[in-house]
This record gives sequence, structure tokens and C-alpha cells, in this order.
Amino acid sequence: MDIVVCVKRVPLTEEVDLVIDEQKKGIKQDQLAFVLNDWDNYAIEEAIILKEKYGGEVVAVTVGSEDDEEVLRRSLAMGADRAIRIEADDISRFDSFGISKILARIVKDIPHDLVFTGVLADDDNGGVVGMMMAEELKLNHACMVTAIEIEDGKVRTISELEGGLGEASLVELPALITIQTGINEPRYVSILGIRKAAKKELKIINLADLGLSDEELSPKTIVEEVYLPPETEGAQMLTGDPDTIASDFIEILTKKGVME
Amino acid sequence: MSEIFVIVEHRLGETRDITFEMLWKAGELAQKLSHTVTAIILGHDVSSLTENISDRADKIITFDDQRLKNFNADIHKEIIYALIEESKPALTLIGNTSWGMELAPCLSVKTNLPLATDCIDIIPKDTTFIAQRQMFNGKIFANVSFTEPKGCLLTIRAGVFSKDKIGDRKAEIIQKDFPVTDIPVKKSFIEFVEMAAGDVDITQAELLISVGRGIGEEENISLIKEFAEALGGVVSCSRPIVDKNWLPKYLQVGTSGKSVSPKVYIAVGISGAFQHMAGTSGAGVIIAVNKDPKAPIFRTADYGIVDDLHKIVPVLKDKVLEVKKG
Amino acid sequence: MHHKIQPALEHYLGIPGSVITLFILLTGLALFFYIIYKRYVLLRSAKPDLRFDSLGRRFYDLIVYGIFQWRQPRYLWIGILHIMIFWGFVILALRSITLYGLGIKAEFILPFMGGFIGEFYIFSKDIFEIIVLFACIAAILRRAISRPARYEFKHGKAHKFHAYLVLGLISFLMITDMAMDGSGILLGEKNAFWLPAANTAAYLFNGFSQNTLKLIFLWNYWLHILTLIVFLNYLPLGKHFHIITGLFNVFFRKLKKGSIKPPRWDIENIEELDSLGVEKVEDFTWKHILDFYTCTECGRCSDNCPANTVGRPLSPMEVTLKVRDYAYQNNPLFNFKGKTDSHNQNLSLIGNVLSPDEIWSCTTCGACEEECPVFIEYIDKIVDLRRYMVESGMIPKDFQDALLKFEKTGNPFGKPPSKRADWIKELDDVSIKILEEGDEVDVLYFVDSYASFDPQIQQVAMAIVKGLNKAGVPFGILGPRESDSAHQVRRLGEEGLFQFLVEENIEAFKTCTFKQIVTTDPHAFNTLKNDYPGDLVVKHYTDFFLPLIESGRLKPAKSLDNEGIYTYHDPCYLGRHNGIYEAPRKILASIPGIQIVEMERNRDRSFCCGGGDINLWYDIEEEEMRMGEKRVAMAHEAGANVIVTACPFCLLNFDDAIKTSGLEGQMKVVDLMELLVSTL
Repeated sequence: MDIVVCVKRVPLTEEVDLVIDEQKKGIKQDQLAFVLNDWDNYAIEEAIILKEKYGGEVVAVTVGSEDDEEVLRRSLAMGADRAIRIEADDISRFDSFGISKILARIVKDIPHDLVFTGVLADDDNGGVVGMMMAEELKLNHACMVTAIEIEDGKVRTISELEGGLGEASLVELPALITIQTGINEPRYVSILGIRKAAKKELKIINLADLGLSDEELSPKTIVEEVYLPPETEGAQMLTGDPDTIASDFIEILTKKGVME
Repeated sequence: MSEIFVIVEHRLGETRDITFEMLWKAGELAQKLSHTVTAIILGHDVSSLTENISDRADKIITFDDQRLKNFNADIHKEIIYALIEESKPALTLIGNTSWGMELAPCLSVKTNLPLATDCIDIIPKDTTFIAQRQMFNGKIFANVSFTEPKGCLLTIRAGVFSKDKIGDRKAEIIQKDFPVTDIPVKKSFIEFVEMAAGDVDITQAELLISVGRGIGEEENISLIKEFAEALGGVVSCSRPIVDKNWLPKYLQVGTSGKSVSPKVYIAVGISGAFQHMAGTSGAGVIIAVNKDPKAPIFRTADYGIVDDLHKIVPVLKDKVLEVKKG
Repeated sequence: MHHKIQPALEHYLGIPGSVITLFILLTGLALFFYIIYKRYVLLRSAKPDLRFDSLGRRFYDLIVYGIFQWRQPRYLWIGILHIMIFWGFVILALRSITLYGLGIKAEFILPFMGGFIGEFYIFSKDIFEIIVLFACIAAILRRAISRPARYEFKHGKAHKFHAYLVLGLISFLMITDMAMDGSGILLGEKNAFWLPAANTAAYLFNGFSQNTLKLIFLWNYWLHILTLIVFLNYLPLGKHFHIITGLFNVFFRKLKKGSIKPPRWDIENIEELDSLGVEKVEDFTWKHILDFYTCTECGRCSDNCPANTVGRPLSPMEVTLKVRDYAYQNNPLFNFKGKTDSHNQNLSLIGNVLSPDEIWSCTTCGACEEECPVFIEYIDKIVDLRRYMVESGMIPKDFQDALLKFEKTGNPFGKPPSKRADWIKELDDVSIKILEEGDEVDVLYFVDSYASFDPQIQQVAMAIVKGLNKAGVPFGILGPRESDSAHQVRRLGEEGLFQFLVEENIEAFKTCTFKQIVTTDPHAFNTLKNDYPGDLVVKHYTDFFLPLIESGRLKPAKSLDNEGIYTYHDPCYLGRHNGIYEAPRKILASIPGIQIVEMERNRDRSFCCGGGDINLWYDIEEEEMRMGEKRVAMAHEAGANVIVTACPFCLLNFDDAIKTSGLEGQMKVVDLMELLVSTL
């Protein structure tokens, strides 16, 4: 079961107040820490689980600069066999369209039964690269998958729908699957583990060598402007000492008729 | 004068709310830009679905076939691609749902048309559109434009636009046949899977006390349970709590959980991420407790308390018990 | 004693007694040495350990804790009983050797046992025979009637039979010896009125015929020497191995309290290791395996273990015994029929012998190590087991999140390092220097992560800073260049991350000059002092501020008369691990009018608050109550309504516990520094 997993390095923004940069097209990144995209973490783990069960090779791929190799090394430490980085300076000039074409081009040359991507990325929240790749590569596909089982050379998936509903499907291989969070419990990789993974193969391929034209990669979408959420009227704040707040709280509940 | 395509999303015979929301927005844009609204329905036994929206679109194109009984992104893609090639619409709107997220990117590559996802607004600007969307899980807003806007695809976030009818319309219904050439199906539908019903149905609750990541550790959830007990309400939660296996899935509120419509929804330690709040749109009143004054939830809630939940929740609970006793 | 009857000269079925004795002795000893050899082989296959340093100190400890059994009276009466049995046994050992000698050569006597020394010895031996006999009987009765809880096992049945057997055997040895003496006297041997045991036995045998007496003597003789050699061979098979290994274990004890052993003593660069931590039995060091051999099953460790007390799956004694039994099972003394697979598997310990939660339950408080009379170590073993689990990815997701944040931001909250010193903005009247490269100060105040980011603990940091300012001490903080001390990270088992954070801090330290480091938190203090390389001069704030108070530079002025009854809780890493008990108490006592009570469990018997380690990020599901709640109840019992502590984690844990115990309004917790500063 050969699996290619596309991974992305994203900023850690959970506890951070974001600041818009001067050009207003992005956020200030100099004070941010970077991690492997949460969805991709689950994707790598799922690939490793399948490899441990069925054998085969797991290859981790990313597009970016040398800093982005960190997520490849983490993937290798988790159990991927080798990694590929497509060297491209300033990948912000590409939109999802371009990225998916680049990734599709490289995946084409790697033997694969399955291709995994995360559903979304923590930064742009786009959610399109996976499926765009599937279309480029003419791969069968399933989206937002929370369970995978291999059955007679096909893959049985459960896709997460809305309202607590799931959809079970049978997909023929080879297939591209976008992985949803919660599908498994990703294993921990220690610092030592990551250092040891440096021994595994990490190949760097230059974008220029992939033979994609500028036209193919030119962005279709343009980020005109980013801004912090507008200050709407928002909630009416209950203030004062805790006792006053509690009283106001009770009043609201009483008015709505739920204080029996 | 062009068409605005709206791909109708339906499941198990019901027209999903996102469809009405998209039709409303399409109608609004149609008015502004002198376009028409064309709804596209792919399914089996679609007469009631057609009826449902007959006053919300100018044209409804239907494909009624056994092979369209279950959603298949590849089939949808081929059929819609042909329609787009034929009619060259100004815009195509698709729901930003599980199905939509599978269909839209594939369609975008096939048609070579630009795509912006999870849009919360569409703003016409000169000859182009600005799609407004969010990044960094709701912390940043972005305005996105297109190099070639004609025909762009947009997936629309559920719960943002109105479900009302806009304008006065009576749709022209065009029934089309399933394309002659069979579309190869490499993915087959097996069944729908319901998550465990559990012993509590939060969709029926009148008072929900919902707990989010801000609770910190698993053992603190008992604080919320006691609070709920004092209030006589039901405990629910956001996705991270379920991901950590602290509470069962059937208590999850949000797009991948349940939609609830209590009289009062108390959100404790919940940041207000859109996917969660989408499940609360039916709530009468939302009261949020969060220690971060900038938490997105304070934009959507009706009332807010900025405080450490570990400090204020016991105070609220005690007051409730006091009042109920006296 | 000059014996009338010489066993060596007797004949049985034509075989002289001397031959029989020799046979018993030689076969017994051969078997014994074989068994010891097998036990030694397992030690040899284990990992290296460095235990031959500080010989002077080691010999001193051997005398104090080994010979004088200094730890035994911590459980007073049984402790005294044990000391009696131990000394009695040592004294009687000379007698036993003499008896074997007598069996081989008539009139055998040890070289120095003639004359007065011999007479004195006989007297001591006689007294101790009675003492030991009564001690053994008392011990048997105590076990059978009052059934101390700590002898019970959480999982499975305790090996109580062995205890009764050995007590019985020892009693039997005493009785046979007394019988020999008693019958000997009646057979005409020299007597003295000051030999109560011998005389009592003689009294009991009064009236028996000479022949009977001779039989009594000989029978008891042969039974005695037979029993003794059987007893000797029985020792390595169970908990009484400690009789042989105990003194060695004390000698090889861990001297550097508070520190954690490196993954390997012989290999410094952990990247060269194939695996980290302990997976199988032989991954332990030889001293740790010796620990397993030496466990006496006394249960004192588990009795004081806070995790065990609150119902967590961990019982230190049982960890030791499970591993010991597993090791014995896989290294059998006699491999009859080449016992295969089902018995000789030697699998990973975690999952087969020990459960992950058992190992995660430990808060590294050190209560177990403080109690163990034979100095068995636990913390290093637990950390080694955790190292294995971490490297194998067997780690709960909550830890993963915390560790990732440590790695990326140098603190467990995931907050950007640039904000680490933001808390100083809250103080307008005090100026705090953020140290730049090349700066020189007296004191580097190491704030650490919780004091930097947690609002409640920031108050403690502010109090410390106010104190430093008031005393006119030139100090600075590293601010954004400070990384977490990594105390918890190391004890969680992430050695690679620990080394990484240590390097970051050491690099930051190198850029400025300072005389000493003062920490907010006993954990940071402990690791900077005991784990970090380079012999840093580190003090916890209590140690630092006490001299300032004593010299008058800081004057607690406000009286706390009638402002509550205060009790001091000894944090594990200040007290047990580093021996700082009095400094905080003196500081507290320096406040005028303050009313102080002591909890029953104080100083080295203090009860862990729940931990400043993994407790913060992961919940052990199996638990009856929180440790913090237990300790708060203890404070309540002592009559206090304010708990004073010098550790931020104790502060947080007690704060929570007061709320969840419903004692709000009746009890509150306060940090020592905050309290002090409020009275200046």
C-alpha cells in the first residue's frame, strides 16, 4: 500500500493575537512559531497505520523553502520512508490552483495506491488543494474522511457529513482522500526521534525542473486585502462584581422562561 | 445579462437550508446586476424539490435519474461542466458542505474557472466580484478577487445568508435527460451512517450549557455538569471536546455535530469558531462566558461575561441554587 | 561455652558427625553460591551505573542507615522490633559459624573468642536470643492480628506466607539454640546465672535423664545447622534476599537527590543510542536490578505514596515486585526441561507487566524513596520507563500538545516568547531590568513559565520583585530569552526536548554575568541546581530572602495577629528533594503576631499537592480523589484556615482543591512571598 501524503507547515496561532502586515495582504509572521498543519498530522498518522498493517512505502511531500523541511522531518520521524520538498521561493505567489498543480505533477511520478491530504490548512482554510489534485491526476476520491478500511483492493471510507451523519462509500484504488481530524490519535515524535529521522532520505526538487509553465501556475485568485474582524455591536456585556453578574444572568434566564 | 447558477443541495428528499440561503444571495445579486437565477437539481424523484424552490429561481434545470439517487461528485461534475460550457454563467454557487467541498474543486479544475471557498459575502465591484472569506480559523477576514472573474465558482458558508425568498419569481422548469454517455463511477455509495443516538437528544433541549476548549482539563467538565444540573439544563459541547474523547459525539454542537434551538444557549469556554456557532443559529438567546474579551463568540452572542470560567461559573451556579431554593 | 557433647565425634550409621556436618555445609554452600551466581548474572547483563564515588560518604551512610538502621523507627514500634531482630541476627551469626565449626572439629572455637570476649559474647548472645524470639513472636502476632494495610497488594495477593515462614524459621533457630544451651547446662557444662535464655531452657528440661538430654542436645544441634543452611538458601528466593543485599543496596544508594539520571551513564550523546529508556528488564542499571532484589515488601513506600493513597493505579512496592517476579520468571534458577516460550518471554515491561497509567500516575514527589529502609529508588526508574514510552509514541495526546508548545514557544501555553516579560508592565512602581547581552547583575531572577504567564502566579513574581527591590538587590530577568526550566519535560521522559531547552537557557545565561540565580519555583530551583551542567549557583527565593530578613534588610512589620491560623505545606521539591524545611518556616515565623500550626504530615513526610508535573496536562482516570483535596483536608484537620506554600503548583492545586472540596470561605491558600511582602 504505497501512500503519498501532502503536508504543509503553518503558523501556530491558537493563543496568539494576529497582527496584519504592512501590505495588508497577510499577517506578521516574525513572532510566530510554526508547526505541522493539524489535519496533515492526522493524515500522516493514518498513512503510517496503513503501512504498518499492509506494508508499502509512505512518502511525504511539501512545497516550500528550507524552513518547511521541518514538517517533512516530523513526518519521517512518525514513520514515513522518504520525503520530497519542491523548492520554490515565496510560495505565497501561488494560490491553491497553482499549488495543486505542482503537487499533482510530483505525485504523478511517485508510485501510489493512495494520496492523502488534510481537509483544510490552518492558515488559509481553503480546503481545495486535495480535490484539485484528484481532478488533475484523474484519481478517484473521497472527502472529509473519518475512517478508512482496505477491502479487496478497494478502500471503504466514511465521510463526515453535517449533523452527525456519515456517508460510507467504496472507492476504487488508486484514490485521493482528504483526511478529517479525529480519524486517529497521532503518535508523538520526540526531539530525539526527529533528529534520528534526519538519516532518512529528503530529496529537494526545484520547481523549474517540473516543467510547469508560468501560465499554468499563475494565480486565479488574488488576495486583495486582509483585515481583523470588524468590531460589530456584538454581545451585551454583563459587568460588575460577580454577584451583580450572577443576578443579571438569572434575570435573563427568567425572562426566557427557563428558570424553573 | 447572464445566469447565476445555484447548485441545489438536498439529502434524503429534503432541500437543505444552504440551498435557500444561496438562492437568496443569488437573487440579491441578480437584482443588482440584472442577471437571472438558475437553480440546478440533480437527483431522483425531484418533483417536490423542484416545487420547493419554484418561487426562488428564474429557471430550474432538473436531471431526474435513478443514477443520481445518491450524490456522486464525479457525475455532478460532468453534468454541471456541460451546463457551464453551454450557458457560460456569471457565477456558480455551491454550498460549502461536505459534498460541496468535494465537488467544487474538481469542477474548478475541469472548467478551469477560479474558485473561492467558504465565502461569507459576495460583493460586486465594477466588472468583478469580491469574495469575502475568513482565514486562520476566523481570526482574519480576507477579500479575494479573481484574475478572470467571469464564471467564477464560489462555495458559500452555511448559515450566513437569509433563507427568505427574495423578489417575485416563477421558475421555468427545464427537464433534461441524463447524458447519453455513461459516466464511469469509481466510487459507490454504501449507506448513511448515524452516529450513536445516545441517551440525550440535545436538539430537543430548551436550555443548553455548552463547554469548549477553554475548560482546560477533563476533570473540570464536572464543573459544567454541576452547573447544568443546578440549572436543570443539558450539557453539550464543541468539537475539540469530542476529539479528545471527553464527551460523546452526540453532545456535539456544530456543522459536524448537531443543530440546536434552545431558548437559551450558554457557551462556556467556547471561542466562537464558525463551525460551532453554525449549530446554534436556532438558539433564542446566546450567553457567552470567556476570559478573552476578543473571542469571536462575543460577536455572535447576545450577552457576554468576560471572566475565567473556573471563577465565575461556581458563582453563577451558587446564585441559581440560591434563587431556586428561595 | 565448653560443650560436654561433641557432635563432630558422634556417629550415625557409621558416618562420623564431622563428615555429616561437612556434607551439609558444603552442599548447602554450593547450592547457595550457585543461586547467588545466577542472580549475579542478571545484574551483569544490565546497564552500567556509577556508584563508587564519594566512598567516605557511602561508608558513613552504610553505618548510619545500614548498621544503625536509622530509617526503621519512622514506623516506631515495628522499626524497633526490626532493629532488634537485625542486631540479634548479626550477633548470633558468630555463634552459627562456631556451631558449624563444632560439627567438623570437636572443641572448635573462633580465634578471638577465648577469655573475656568470649564470655561477653555468650552473654550478649543469650540476651539477644530472648529478645529476638520475643520480637519474632510479636511480629507474627502483629501480622496476624492487626494486619497492617500496607502489606496488602492492590493487585493480586501478597506473599505473606514468606514472612511467616521466615519469622518462624528465625524463632526456630533461637529455640534450638536455647535448647542446646539448656540441655548443655544440665549435662554439666559451665553455667552462669546471668544467662537468662540458657537458664530458662535448663529449668524447662530439669528432671530429664542424661540420655534424653544428650538426645535433646544433638537433635537441636543438627536441626539448627540444617535449618540455618536451608534458611541461607531460601533467602535469595524472595523478599528476604534483602538480608544479603540490603547493606550493599544502602552502600550503593543514590547520593544526588533531586537529580534524574542521564539515559545512560556510559554514553553521553543520546543520539548514539538505538533506544532510550527502559523497555525490558535488562535495560535497567545493575543498581536498579539490585533494588528489585532488595525489596523487603514492607510497604512503607506505598503507604506514603500520594498516588496510591488517592486510589491511582500506582503502588510503588508492587511495581518493584512485579518487575522482580517477571525478572525471576525469565531468569529461572533451574531450567528444567528447558522451559520455553510461555515462561521465558522477556517482553516489554510496559503493557505486559506494568500499565502506562501506573507509570504516569507518579508525581515524582519522592515520598517512597524517603521511606525505604533499604534505599530503593523509584523516580529514576519511572522516568526511564517514561522515556521508553515517549520514544515509542505511547503518550497521551494532552502531553503531546504541551510538549509541542514547549518546543515551539519555550512554555507550555503556546504563548509567544516575546510576551514572556509582559507581566512586568503591571508593576508601575518597580523597575525591572531585562538583561541584555553583556549585562552584569548580582542576581538573575529566573521567573519560569507559570510565573510569566499565569495571572495567579504572576502575583508571586511581582511579590518577589517587590521584595528584591525593597532589599536593594541588583537583579534582572532574561525575559523573552528565558525558556522553561524544563523540569517537567525531563521527568515526563522527553530527554531530547529537555536537552534542547537546557541548551537554550545555558546559552542565554552565558551572555550575562551574575553571582547567583534565584527562582520563583522549587521545580526550576531543583533542576537548575541538580540537572543542569556547570554547577550553577541557584537558590530558591526562600533561601535567598531569609538572610535578608535576619539581617534586617527586610522587615515584616504588619502583624497578622488574629488574622487566621497558618500552616506551612512543604513542597516536594523544596523539602524532600532539597532538604529546605526550616528557611520557609523561619520566614513565616518572622511575621509578627502570626499563629502557626503544623500539619501531622510535615517536612519529609509532607503530602504531595498533586504535582507540578504531568498533573497539569493529563488526567489519570482511575482516581478516588485529588491529592490536593486530601492535603487541604489535612490542613483543615490541623486547625488551620490558611495554607502557606512556596511553590506555584501547590498554590494552583490547593486553590482548585479548596473549591472542589467546598471549603471556600473556610480555607484559603497563599504564597509565602506574597504573604511576606504584604507585611513589609
